[in-house]
Amino acid sequence: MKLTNFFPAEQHVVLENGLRVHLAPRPDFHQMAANLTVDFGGRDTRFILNNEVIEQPAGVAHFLEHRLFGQPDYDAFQKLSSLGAEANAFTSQSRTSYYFTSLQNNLAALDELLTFTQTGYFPEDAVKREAQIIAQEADMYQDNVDAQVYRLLLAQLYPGDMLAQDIVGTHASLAQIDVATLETAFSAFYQPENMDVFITGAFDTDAVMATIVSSMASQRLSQKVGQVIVPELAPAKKEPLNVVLATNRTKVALGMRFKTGAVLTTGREGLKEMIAVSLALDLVFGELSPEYMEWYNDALIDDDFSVEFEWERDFAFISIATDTNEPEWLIDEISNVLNQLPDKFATLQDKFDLVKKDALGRTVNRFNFMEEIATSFEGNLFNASTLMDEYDMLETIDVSYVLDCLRLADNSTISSVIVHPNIE
Amino acid sequence: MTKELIKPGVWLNIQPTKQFSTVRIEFNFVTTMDAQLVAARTLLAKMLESASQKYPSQTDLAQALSRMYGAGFGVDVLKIGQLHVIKAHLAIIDEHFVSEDSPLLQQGITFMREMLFNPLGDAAQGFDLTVFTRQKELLLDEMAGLEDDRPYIANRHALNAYFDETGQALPAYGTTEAIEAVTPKEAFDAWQDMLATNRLDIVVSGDVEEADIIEALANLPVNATKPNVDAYYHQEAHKTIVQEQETQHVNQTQLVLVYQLAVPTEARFSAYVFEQIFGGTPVSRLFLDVRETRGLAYSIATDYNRFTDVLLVSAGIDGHEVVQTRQAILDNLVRLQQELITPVELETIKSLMKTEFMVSLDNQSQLTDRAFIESFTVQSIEKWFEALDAVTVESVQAIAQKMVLQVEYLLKGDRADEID
Repeated sequence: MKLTNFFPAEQHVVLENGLRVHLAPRPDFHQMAANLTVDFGGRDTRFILNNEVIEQPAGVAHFLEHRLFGQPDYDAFQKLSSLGAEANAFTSQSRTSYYFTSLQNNLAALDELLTFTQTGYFPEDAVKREAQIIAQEADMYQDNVDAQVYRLLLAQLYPGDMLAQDIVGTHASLAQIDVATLETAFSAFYQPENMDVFITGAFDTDAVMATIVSSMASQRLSQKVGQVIVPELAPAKKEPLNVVLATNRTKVALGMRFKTGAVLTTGREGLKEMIAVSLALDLVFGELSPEYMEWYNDALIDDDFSVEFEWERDFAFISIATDTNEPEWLIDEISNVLNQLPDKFATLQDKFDLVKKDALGRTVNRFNFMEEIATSFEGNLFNASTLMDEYDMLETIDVSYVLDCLRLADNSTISSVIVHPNIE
Repeated sequence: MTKELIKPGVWLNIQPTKQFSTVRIEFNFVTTMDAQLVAARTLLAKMLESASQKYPSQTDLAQALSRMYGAGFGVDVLKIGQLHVIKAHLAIIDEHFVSEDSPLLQQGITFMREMLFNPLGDAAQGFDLTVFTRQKELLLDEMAGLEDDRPYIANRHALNAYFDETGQALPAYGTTEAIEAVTPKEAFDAWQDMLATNRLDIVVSGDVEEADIIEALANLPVNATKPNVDAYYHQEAHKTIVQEQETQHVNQTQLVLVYQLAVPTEARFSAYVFEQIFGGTPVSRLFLDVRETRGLAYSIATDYNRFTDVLLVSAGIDGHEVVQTRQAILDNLVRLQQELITPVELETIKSLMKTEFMVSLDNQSQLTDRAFIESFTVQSIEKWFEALDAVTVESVQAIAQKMVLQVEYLLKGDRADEID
C-alpha cells in the first residue's frame, strides 16, 4: 500500500540558495518536530577547500555542534526553551543534526533553528572552555566499556581511519582545535546547499514555508562547499585483537565491511539494499535460526547479543557484539555464518516472511512519533528518503532480492576483538 | 467516542481516530484491592503474558506476534486508589497498511482471547509448573532489584506508615513473602475468580469500526459478578504525626513527608495546580528554594494521588541536612498558605500543564489510560481547559491550607559517615 494513501503529500523543494526543504505534515497530531541536518560529520577531517588540502584533528564536527548554540548575545538552547521548544543535537560520522519538538505551528522556534545554525560565533575563551567540557565527555566514552570495544573493533576493521576514533575526539586532538579550525570547518560545510530542513507533525505548510524562505538559512548566499576526501582504506586486520578491560565478563566483537571494492550504492537503490541486508541479518542472527538458538541454548551467547548494520556516506559494515564464555569458539561460529551469508539466508528463506513482517511492524510503529521521524531523516544519503519511503521499500523486498544483494557483496575479511575481564 | 455496557459488568470504550498508525486494545480486569489476593493476581498476570494452550513456549508466542507484524503484547498489574487492575494490552499496526487474508484487527482480538481465556494449565493442577516456576523466579529477581531503588523504597515505607488499611499500603505486586508462597493452583484459582467477578473495561483506540469490535467481543467468558467498585480511598486524618526512621548502608538519605490532602471533586484542578507549584516542576517552590537556592537536595519532588488523598514530598539529601531540609519544606508550605502566589506564576504553571496535556494527546497509550480512568471518575477531558483556566490564586491558597502532615519518614544512609 503506497503510503501516499494514508499521509498527506510530502513537499520537497530546493530553494534558490541551494537549501533543501522537506515537509511531511501530520495534521492529526498536536506537536511538530523540525530537523536541520548538515552533510558533515566526525569522519570528515580531510577535505579540499579552495584548491587546498585541509587536514583537521578528530572532533571538529562534534565541537561545532556544541559551540553553535552559543550565539553573540544569547544561548540558542535557552532561547528555544523559552519559545516552548525542546531542542537537541547529535553528530554522527557523516552528518550533524539540530532539532526541536514543540506544540504545533511554532514558527518562532523554527526561525531560531534556521538562524543559530547559520551563524558561526567562536570567541577564543568560549572555545577553550568548550574544549574542557568536551574533554570530560571524551573521558566518559573512554571509560565506557562498550564504547571502547566498539572503537577497538573499528580500529581493526578500518586501520588508521577516522572511524576508529571517537566522534568527540581525544584530549590530544581537542587541544589542537582552535578558533581557526572551527571557522574553516564552518565555512567549508555549513553552507545552505549542504543542508536539509525536515519538518513533520502539525503545522500550516504555507506559514512554515514562508518562515523558512525569509529565514537566514534561505537568505544566506551559499559559498562553495568543501570536498571531502574519501579515505583510502588499509586492509582490515584478520587476527583477533586480545585486550583486558575494566569489565567482569568476557566479550567478543566482530566486524565485516560491506562492499569494499565497489563503491556503495547510492540513492533509493542504496536504501533498498541496506534494508534487504538488515533483514537477512535479523533472520540469520535471530530466534528463527536454529543455529542461533543452539548458541543461545548452549549458553554460548545470551540476551546481550547484538548485531548492527551501519551504512552512512562512504562506508557500510556489519558488527556483532556479545558476552560469551567461549570467545575463540564463538568467533569461529559467527565467522562461519558471515562468510556464508547467502547460503545461510537461503536455508532459512521460508521464515523470511516473519522477519519482514516484524520489520514492517516496527517501521509503522515509528510513524506515531514525530521526533523519531524527524531525527531519522538522513538528507541526501538515500536521496532524501523518509521513514515512509523505508516502509514502501520494505514492502517490495523479497527473498530473491535479498539473495542478490548478499551475493553481490564482497567476501570481506572479518576482524574481531576479544575482551578479557579485569579480574582483581 | 463510544462507551457502552456490552454485558453486565463489562464496558466497551472505543476511541475512533485516524491519528495513529496503530490500534491499541486493552482489557482491564478491576477489583477492590485485597491483601490476600494481590500476589496471586500478580503471578496470574505473568502467566497470562507468557504462555497459553496454543502458544506454550516463548518461541511459539514470539512467532505468533511476528505473524501479526510484530504486535506488542503485555499484561501488567497496577493500582488506582483502592482498586487493583490486571491490564492486558495489545498494540497492532493499522490493518489498512497491509493486505491480509484475515483482517489484522480480528487476528489481534482472537490472540488476546487466546492468551486471556485459554491459559496453560487446568483447574486440577493449576498453571503449568515449569512456566510458573520460571515466572516466579523472574518476578522475585525484579522485586529484589527494586530494593536497590532507595527513593522508591523510602516512598513505600512512608506510605506503609500512613495507611490504616494493609491492602492500601501494599504495592500492586504485593510482598516478596506472599509471592514466594503462591502455588500454581492458587494463581489459577485467582484467574477463575478474575473471570467470575471482576469488572471488565475494554478500551480500543485506532481506526476501527464499532461493529467489527462488538462482533469480535461476542460471548466473552466473563461474569463480572462484582462490578461495583469505588476507586476512591478515604481515611480520617490522624491527630498525631507518625515519625519513622530506618538506616541503610548507602550514601544518600531519603526524607519523605506524607500529607493528607482531601479536596472535593470540584476543587481537584486547584489541587493539581497547587501540587505543581509546590513541588511538581523544575520551576516549583521546593525545587527553586530547597534545591537551587539553599542547595539542600539534589532531588526534591512532590506526587499527588487524588484517589487516596495523599501528597508526598520526597527529597534525596545529605544525612546532615535533615533538619534544615524538613524546615525548608515546611516553610515553603506555610508561605503558600499565607501568601497568594503571583498571577505570573499561576499562568506559567497553567501553560506548562497545557503543553504537557497536549503532548499526551499524541501518545496512544496515555490516551487509553485516560479513557479507562475516566470510567471511574466519570469526569471527561472535554472540559479540561475550562476547568484549568478557572483555577485562581485564591483557590490555590485554599488548597494549601487543607494540607495535613501525617508522616515524617527518614531512610538514613550511614555510609557517607565512613572514613574511606
